[in-house]
Amino acid sequence: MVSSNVLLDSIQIEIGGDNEWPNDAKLFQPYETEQILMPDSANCLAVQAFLQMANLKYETVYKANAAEMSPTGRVPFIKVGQYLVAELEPIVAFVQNKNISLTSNLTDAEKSDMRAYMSLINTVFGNAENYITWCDPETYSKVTKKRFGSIHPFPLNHILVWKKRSATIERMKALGGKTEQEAVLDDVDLCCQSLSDRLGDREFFFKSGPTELDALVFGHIFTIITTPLPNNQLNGIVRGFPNLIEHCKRIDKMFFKTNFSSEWT
Amino acid sequence: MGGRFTKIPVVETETEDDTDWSKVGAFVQKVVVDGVRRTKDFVIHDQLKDVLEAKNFADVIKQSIAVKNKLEALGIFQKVGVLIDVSRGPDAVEDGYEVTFFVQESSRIKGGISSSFTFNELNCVVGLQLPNFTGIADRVFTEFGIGSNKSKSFHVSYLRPLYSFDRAIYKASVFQNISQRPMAGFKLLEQGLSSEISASFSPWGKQTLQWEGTIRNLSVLAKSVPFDVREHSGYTLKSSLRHILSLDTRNSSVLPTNGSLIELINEFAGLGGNVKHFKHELSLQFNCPLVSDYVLQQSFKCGLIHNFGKDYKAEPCDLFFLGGPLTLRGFQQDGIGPQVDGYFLGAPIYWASSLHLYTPIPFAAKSSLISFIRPHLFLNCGNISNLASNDLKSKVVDLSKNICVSTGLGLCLRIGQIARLEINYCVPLSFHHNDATIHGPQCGVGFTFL
Repeated sequence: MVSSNVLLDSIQIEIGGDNEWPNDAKLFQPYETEQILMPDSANCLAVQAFLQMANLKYETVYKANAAEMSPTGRVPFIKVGQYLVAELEPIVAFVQNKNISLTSNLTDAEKSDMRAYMSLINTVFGNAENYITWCDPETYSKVTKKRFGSIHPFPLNHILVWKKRSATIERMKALGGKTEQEAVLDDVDLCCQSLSDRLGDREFFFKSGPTELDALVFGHIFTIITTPLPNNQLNGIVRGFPNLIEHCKRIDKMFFKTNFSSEWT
Repeated sequence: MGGRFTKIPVVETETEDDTDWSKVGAFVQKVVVDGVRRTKDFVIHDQLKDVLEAKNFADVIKQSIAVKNKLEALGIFQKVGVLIDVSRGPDAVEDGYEVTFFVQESSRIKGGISSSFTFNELNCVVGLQLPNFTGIADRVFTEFGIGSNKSKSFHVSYLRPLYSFDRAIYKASVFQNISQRPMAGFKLLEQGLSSEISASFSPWGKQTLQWEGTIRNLSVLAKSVPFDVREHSGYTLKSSLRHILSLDTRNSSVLPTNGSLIELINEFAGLGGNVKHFKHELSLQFNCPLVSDYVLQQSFKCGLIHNFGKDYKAEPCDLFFLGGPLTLRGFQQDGIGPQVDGYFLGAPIYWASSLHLYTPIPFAAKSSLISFIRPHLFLNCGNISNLASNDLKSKVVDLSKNICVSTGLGLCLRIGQIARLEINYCVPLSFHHNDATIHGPQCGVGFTFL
């Protein structure tokens, strides 16, 4: 039974590309107002932005156990017909299988450039957001504990937040992420600088229009500048790059004007 | 009379001469317990009371045996011997007797490896026990088990008799279990605490009151597992109060030839936590010995889960599953009922019934074998329903439609005193369209059977 399921899985992925994008595609993510944490929020927003840019119809479904439901244990994930795909890059690849792509006009050099930037953002912003969420004592005790525990009954909330914290710190260390505040923030500053240089005064990172890189940058920048936290140093650094903020506002206006514009303060 | 070491239970109360020992006046003047090292005095005193009430010699012997059995039942002595003698010494009185119990306390630590069976899988269990831990006939025991079906279990328990409440036993445990239900597509990790008091009240059987707090993590086994199961992934906290009534008069729990079993389990989950249901399960079994070692056995089981709480949907791990080599034979384990994409979802209500005819072993000279191995003919039926309606009546009506029926014959083997192995040839007679039937040989082991 199990072996045939593995076979079935690979067949499903193979044939997943043949179908048209259905009308009942769903995006699963944690509750936005009371539960979601900064790293997850950035990833969910990036995927939403990408789907909006590709003009794909989807419905957002909020589930407290979205991470556990996800095939990789990470949010967000999409359900398209029978297929479940989690996280931005696999989702981009899945969509490309259906001959929908935002990068078809890019040269190979530009594509590899884009991938390098995306990987840089995932590493640096991901590490910084995890650091603020799980390692900064004030943020952890005042925000993270409350939000992460909000969906579980006592005493499960305390047990799980503690487990998640040790697992996250373990993973950050395994990935070689920095765990001193100054080093983390310096990295973010450098990363923002190189993104800002790359963007210049253009509308998007590439001339041909928005790509998944824009979606990913939007996800992180928007999350950082709109999430109120006791430790707002990350916010301070990002606000030092006006063209990135402008880029973020532009994408919000173009693709989310109904959903998010009210959150600008 | 003289000192006589009575090797119990061979007691010479019925001697050749016609002396009526119950008319011989006697009382116990002194009781000695020899060999006690770390057991607390009050534990022993508690057991000895009866012997002091004897009023004649027959009584003295009867009560001595009773006390010996009680001491053995504490489970803290390796050996218990009894010596009844006339009183000696300056205080000796006529008709006065002295009863001496020779005991040997068991060692401080015991270990073992054993096999057991649960949910149709073979488990290897490594155990460690600290008998008579603090000297009050309590014990600490721990077990670690690995199953053939990727299950793992571990527990540390503490068990002690409650002296203030006759024959009641208190037990507390910390445990962790990992189990799989491949037909339902999920894996379950349970970590928890439990605390229970059990007591026997004849004629009302054994009653157990139990509280259990469990953290459960459900995860799916494959990507192809349907979304209906996947959406229950993640952690839940179950805090439940359970009452178990068990009235068992059978002569064996595995291959009984006589007696009956009535067991009723009622569970209320929702004392804190986020699992909210009432769960009821009833098991009945009646054994009727017929002529020349033929035994007719009838069993019936049913269960019902009733959820409460707004928008609460029962977790797959709380639901009932039906089918398997020891329950509804002729179907795969959990292979009956509602399903999606080839996975069985379980249901909140079920019933199952069986009729067995156990026969003697043909051509076997020794009939003593039949307590280990018995051929049987069986007829099973049952049904499971996931009707969404909250109305019990319509559920019962639904359960009476499209009943699954199977029949066949095979061999039952007793393994130890608790498990049984069956090898059967099964013929499913009636089933639902998608049920996982087995037409032919089927083999299974387990604790519980129908």
